[in-house]
Amino acid sequence: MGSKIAGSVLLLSAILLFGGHQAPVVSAAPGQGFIPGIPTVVKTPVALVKAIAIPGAPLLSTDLVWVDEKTKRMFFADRSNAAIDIIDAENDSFVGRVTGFVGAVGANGAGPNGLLVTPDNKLWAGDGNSLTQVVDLNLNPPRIIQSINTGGIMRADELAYDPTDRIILIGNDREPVPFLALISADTYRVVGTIPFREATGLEQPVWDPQLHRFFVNVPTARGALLAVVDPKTMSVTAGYPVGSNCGGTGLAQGPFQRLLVACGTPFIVNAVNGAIINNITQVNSGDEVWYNEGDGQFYVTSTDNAGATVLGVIDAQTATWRQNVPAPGARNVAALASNNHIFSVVRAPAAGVTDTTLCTQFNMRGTGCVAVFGHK
Amino acid sequence: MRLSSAVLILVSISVVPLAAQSADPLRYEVAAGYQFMRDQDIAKQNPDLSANFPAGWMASGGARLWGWLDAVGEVSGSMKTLSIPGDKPKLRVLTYMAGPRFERAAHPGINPFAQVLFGSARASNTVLGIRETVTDFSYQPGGGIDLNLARRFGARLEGDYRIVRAGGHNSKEPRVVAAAVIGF
Repeated sequence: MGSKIAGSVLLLSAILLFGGHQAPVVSAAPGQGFIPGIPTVVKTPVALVKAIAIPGAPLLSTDLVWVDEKTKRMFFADRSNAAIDIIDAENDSFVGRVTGFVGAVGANGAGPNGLLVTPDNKLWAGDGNSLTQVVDLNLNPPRIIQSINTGGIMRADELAYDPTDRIILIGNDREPVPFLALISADTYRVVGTIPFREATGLEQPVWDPQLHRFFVNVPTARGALLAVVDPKTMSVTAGYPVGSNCGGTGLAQGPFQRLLVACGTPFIVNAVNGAIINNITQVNSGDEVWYNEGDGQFYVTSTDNAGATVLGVIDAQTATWRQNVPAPGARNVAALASNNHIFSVVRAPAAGVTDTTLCTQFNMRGTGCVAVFGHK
Repeated sequence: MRLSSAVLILVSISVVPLAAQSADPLRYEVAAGYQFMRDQDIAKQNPDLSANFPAGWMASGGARLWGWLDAVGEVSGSMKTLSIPGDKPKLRVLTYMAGPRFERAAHPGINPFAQVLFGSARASNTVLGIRETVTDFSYQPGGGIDLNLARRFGARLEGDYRIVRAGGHNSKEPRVVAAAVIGF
């Protein structure tokens, strides 16, 4: 009898150790703690630490910024050089440029605009003429390998990526009826479009892996509409109004299903039900916004209540404002989580205008630069 | 599936060995009780959150293999609700572990033991019903004492240092246990 019981216990042990899981086994992400979704919080103040010089034409026209955590590269849309510029985000230095975009002046919209990098090291960017450009960063030098027409006339703008279905969502924001195009990252074909008849544009989208939905900040005449898009049915499944009499722009996802929705000022919104958790009033919300997993902060570049341009730091966990860092000229933001370097592009002033941007603190005048912020 | 299998086998352990009761040494046991756990990752990475999990439970079953060596299987759970502005995320850690226990009667009525269990640990973070879950390999060295209060009943005080191999590093979750033990 004893051996039978011992056998039962050993069987129990085997089941406990090797028994089948009903749900797929997902391990903790590298660098994260065991319990998922708990942000790493760094509370030391943020300060300007460096500026990176960018060769070529002065940065008169730029757009979005992206940081790829895997390759530790920062990319930004440099319309003045009709290119995407590549920055080494570990060493804070310019490393190269991908050309072939429309540039600052295009009859059917400027480009590049929004951009992102997928895990297979392809850079996707919106461009003028309703084009989505795909750059293979594995090539040396990187170059455009696909130009995908999204079916509009004006520019293709900001985008997000669904890694499960390998779908890129990109907005044509300046059409008479703005629309989203969904593109297969395998076939490079547009697989669906979603029109937004009440929209006055289409702004920053994000992918929510837990909800398996895209969220898009849709500006309307009444305020921002947070549109929820199902990539499988290619339809809008919900819409949450955020703010009133404001223009929707940026969108970023933080911990605990929290979204920062930019509509004049930053709103912290729950992605599950659209409930507003807090409205930040100490800083405006600017254009692109970013969540940095390395320090648990949302970042915005905009003006403070006195009208000065700042980098706004917002605690994602407590949904509260933390700090405004003076950042004259800074526009759009992204961060590398592994070293908590926060990057923002500073445009050059127009010809004949005195340069008062933060680039001058590093003896760069009239050229623009990339500002690097870090924790003290 | 896993939990139901564990419960079935624990029940089988508790009802099958009736014949063994005639023998003096108690060869099988079940235990259930309270556990208090602390997640060292949270303590390290997030100063605004408490790392303690004051709500928890454990249940285990064991059988004497020979002499001072037991085989043990255990399930446990710890949970807490985060106190942050907005919706309150619910955290939960479940473990399913088994391994050897070394136990000797050092003093009448007191049996100290040491054990090391191996298995899996599953953690989840739920916000408004949306759950994010990870599962990783875990091992748990520990020890304690069994206080024999009656022939078949006792109390257990135990301390363990659980290590979860998560995302390329070791997550540490020490815990203390107070449990009731029934022998067969």
